[in-house]
Amino acid sequence: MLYKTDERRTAAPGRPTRALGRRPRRAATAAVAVALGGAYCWFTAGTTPFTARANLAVGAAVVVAAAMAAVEALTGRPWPSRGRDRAQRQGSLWAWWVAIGLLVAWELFNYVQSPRHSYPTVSSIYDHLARWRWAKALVIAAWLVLGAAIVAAFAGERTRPRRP
Amino acid sequence: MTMRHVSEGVWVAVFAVFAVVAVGTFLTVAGDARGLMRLLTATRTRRILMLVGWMWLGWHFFAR
Repeated sequence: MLYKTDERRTAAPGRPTRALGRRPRRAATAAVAVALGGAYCWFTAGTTPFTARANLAVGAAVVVAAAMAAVEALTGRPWPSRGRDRAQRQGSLWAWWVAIGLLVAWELFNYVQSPRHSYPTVSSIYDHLARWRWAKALVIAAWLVLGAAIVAAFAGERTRPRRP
Repeated sequence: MTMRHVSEGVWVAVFAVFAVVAVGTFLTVAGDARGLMRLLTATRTRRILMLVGWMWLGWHFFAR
């Protein structure tokens, strides 16, 4: 199917063949993004909280995300490409709300209890994990992925239909 | 068994629920993580709140 689609694109007379070069370019962009993101995660995982290096590393990501969100909102162009089939899926989200509700309830229960050693919160669990640099790098990577999804949503400022 | 063991056991269960929901909704037609993200960023106010929350999360965990 894929071959036929590509063949049709190239064979259609008078049709631009821009799609031919998009896939390798996207793959190269994704590879560069993953390499840069990985280097950032590893570097940031090596910093110690309450130090200038940690402030600088996290601050840089925050500033870049704010700038990218502003650009997205102004231009309406999402940084990551969007899949057509899955992006349109919107089923019931009750399972997510149950999971989020459980997490918030257990976090609050532990937060108001003491001592913290007996009632660990997400923060204290993270502190335990962050002793290993690779684990901290994975958490930072998850944070970056979440940030990328939020920043990409700012493209909706222009692309989504507005109510009259 | 101490209270810490009980609490950690519940945390493992909570994270397992998240994993099951993430995988389950991805494999079925039910609302997946992208659907949740679309809902959470559906308006300008929500997008800004999510971005500020994300910034706070990173600052809280990795810098402070």
